[in-house]
Amino acid sequence: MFNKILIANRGEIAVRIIHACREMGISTVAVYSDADRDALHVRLADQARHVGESARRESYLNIGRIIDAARESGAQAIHPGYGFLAENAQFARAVLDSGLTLIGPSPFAIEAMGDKAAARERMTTSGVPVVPGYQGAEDDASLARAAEQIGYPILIKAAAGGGGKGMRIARESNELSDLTQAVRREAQHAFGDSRVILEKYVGQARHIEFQVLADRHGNTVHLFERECSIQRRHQKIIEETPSPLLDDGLRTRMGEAAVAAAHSVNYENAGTVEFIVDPETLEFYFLEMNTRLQVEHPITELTTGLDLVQWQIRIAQGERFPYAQADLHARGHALECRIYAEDPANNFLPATGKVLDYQEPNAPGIRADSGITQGSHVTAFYDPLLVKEIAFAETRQGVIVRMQNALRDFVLLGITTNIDFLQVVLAHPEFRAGRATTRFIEEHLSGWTGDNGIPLEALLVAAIADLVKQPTDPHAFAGLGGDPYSPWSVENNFRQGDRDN
Amino acid sequence: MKVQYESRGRSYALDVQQDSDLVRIEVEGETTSAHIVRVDPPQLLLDSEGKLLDARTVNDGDNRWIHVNGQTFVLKRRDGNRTGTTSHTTTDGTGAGLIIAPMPGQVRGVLAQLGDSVQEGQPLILLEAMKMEIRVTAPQSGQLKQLDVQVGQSVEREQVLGEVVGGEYDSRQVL
Repeated sequence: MFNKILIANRGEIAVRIIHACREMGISTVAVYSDADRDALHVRLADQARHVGESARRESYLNIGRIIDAARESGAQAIHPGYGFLAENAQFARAVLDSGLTLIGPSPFAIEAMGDKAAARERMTTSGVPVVPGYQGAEDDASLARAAEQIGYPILIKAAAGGGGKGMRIARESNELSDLTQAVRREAQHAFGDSRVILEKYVGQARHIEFQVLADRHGNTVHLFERECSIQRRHQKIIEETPSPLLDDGLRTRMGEAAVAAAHSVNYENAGTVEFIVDPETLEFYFLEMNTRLQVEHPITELTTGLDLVQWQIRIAQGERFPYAQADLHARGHALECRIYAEDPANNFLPATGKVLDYQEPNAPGIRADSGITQGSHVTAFYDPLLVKEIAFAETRQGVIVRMQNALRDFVLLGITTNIDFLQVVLAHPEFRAGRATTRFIEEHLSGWTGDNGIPLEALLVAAIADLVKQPTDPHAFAGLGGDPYSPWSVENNFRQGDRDN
Repeated sequence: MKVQYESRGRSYALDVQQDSDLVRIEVEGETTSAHIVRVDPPQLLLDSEGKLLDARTVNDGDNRWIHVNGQTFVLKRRDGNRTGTTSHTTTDGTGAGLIIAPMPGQVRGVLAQLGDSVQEGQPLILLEAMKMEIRVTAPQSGQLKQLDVQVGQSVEREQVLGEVVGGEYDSRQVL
C-alpha cells in the first residue's frame, strides 16, 4: 500500500488527485515551477518540491528532476495526471527503473497507443474500426498522393499527438504542404516528434469516448461513454454523459470495441478510447486511446458512483477491481463545462492575469474541480484550463438548467474567461436538441463577439462602485458597511480600495 | 457628475447623480437608479427600482470588473475630459500598419527581417501561449519598418511588435 504519492502535475488535476489521496490516507508531494510557487496545488499538498523554471521543459516535463523529487521525498508512486508526462513512455520507464510505481499503464501500452500510426494498425487487426487514413513515408509527394487517394478534406495529425494539439484540416490540395509544416512544428514543440499521419476528415461527426478501467488480474471493463462534441480548435469545452446519440445497442457495441482496444495492449489502469460517430449512419471509428486519466473523468464519476482517481491508485497497488461489466450501471445525466482563461470574442486566444475575485457556485448537484483561488496568477506558460464546473441531475434537460444556474453564479474577475460563451452554447437549440457535432461552434457560433453592449444595470454597478470608492459626500453611505452590527462599521464603512491594485 | 466607461471599442458617457443612498444614472437618454443596500467590497448589494442586484466588483487599474445578473463585464474607466481609445503613433498617423500581439505569450520565431517587403497576411512572428502557436501576420502590404521583438521574449496582449509601412511608401528611400 502506498503511504506517499508524488503528483507530477499542476492546476485542477493536481488538486483533484490530492483530494483522492487525502481520502485514502495517503500523503502527497506536489511539484512546482517558479511560476507556481504559491499555486493552489502546492498549498494543498503535504509537501512540495521545486522542480525548475517556469517553462514546461524545465519543470513539469523535466523527468530527471521529477523522479529525483519523488525519491528524495520518499514517495512510492507517481501520479502523472493528464498532459505533461502522462503519456510519455520514456517517463513511465524511468519511473519503473527508479523503483517507483507509475499510477497508469505500462510503458508498452503508452507507446503502442501513443504512436497514432501503429495504433491504427493494431486496431485494424483487433477488429476495431478506424477512419480511412494514411501513415507511411512523409515526403511531400507521398503525402499529397495519399491525401488525393483518401479525398479532401484531410485531417493532418501529429503521429505522437493527443489532446487536440498538432492538428490541422487541409480543405484543398494547395493547403496540404503549408499546414503539414505547421503541424510538424507544433508537434516537434509539444511532443518532441514531428511525424504526421493523415486521416479522412469526417465533417459531421460526434466525438464519443468510452472510459475503460483494467486491473492487473484480467478484469477489463468500460464505464460507459462521454460525449465531447462541443469543441473549439479541436479542444473540448463541454462534455456530457450519457450521449444523446447512443441507444443501448450501439452503446454495447462501442463499449465492446473499447474493451477490445484496451485488451490489444494489455492495458492496466484507467484509460479512454475515443471514437468519432457519423450521426447519419451511426458508424463509429476509433480515433485514439488516451492512456491516462481524462480531463472530463468527473462526469463518469457522477453517473457511475465510482471514484476514478481512487481506483487508479488502488489498481496501481495491485488491488482487484471487484465489478464485472454486468454489475456496472450509469444513472442520471452529468455535464461538464471547462472554464478557460481565454477570450472567445478574440478567436479563443489565451488570456492571462490575476484572479481578483473568485466564488464558486454552490447548489444541489454541483461540483467544481478548480486549480485556482483568489489571488492566483494565470500565466502564458501552461494550459488555459482554470476550473471545471460539473453538474449532475436526473435528466439531460435538468442538468443543463443546473449548469446554467451554476455558471450564472460563478464569479471569476480579473481574467477574461469563456463563461459567457459556455452559456451561449448551453442555450443554443442545436445543443438543447442533442444534435451538435464537432463542427457546432464553427457552424453556429463562429465570429461570436458577445457584444450586445453593456447593460444599463452593469453601468449602474460600475458607477456606484466608483462613487463608493471615491465618495463626493463622505457621509453619504454611513451605515452601509459589511456588518451593520459591527462596532467598526461606522469608521470602516467601505474598506475602500482593499482589493485595488 | 460625468463618468465615462469604455468596453470593446464602445464608450458609455454617464451622468451620475447621488442623493444620500440613492444613485441615478443617465446613459444616452436611458435612466435607471438604485438604493445602495450594502457595501462590502467586492460585494455591492443594490435595490434597483424594486429588483435586487447582488453584484461583485473589483478594480484593476482603470479596469472595472463587474459580475451582475449572472454575467461578467469589464469596463475601462476614462477620464471625463478624454475621449477615444489610447492610440499608438505610426508613421502615417492612422495605426493601420501596426503589428499587434493578439494574445499574451512568448515569441517563438521571427520570420521576417527589418526592411523586408511583405505582403498583407504574410506571417511575420510566431507567438506561443498555453501550448498554442499562432502566426502574427502583416496587417498590410508594404515594408517592415520596425520590429521590436526577439525570440524568447514575452509579450502582452495588444503590445505593438512592429510596423509595416504601406505600399505607397517608397522602400528605396530607406534602404
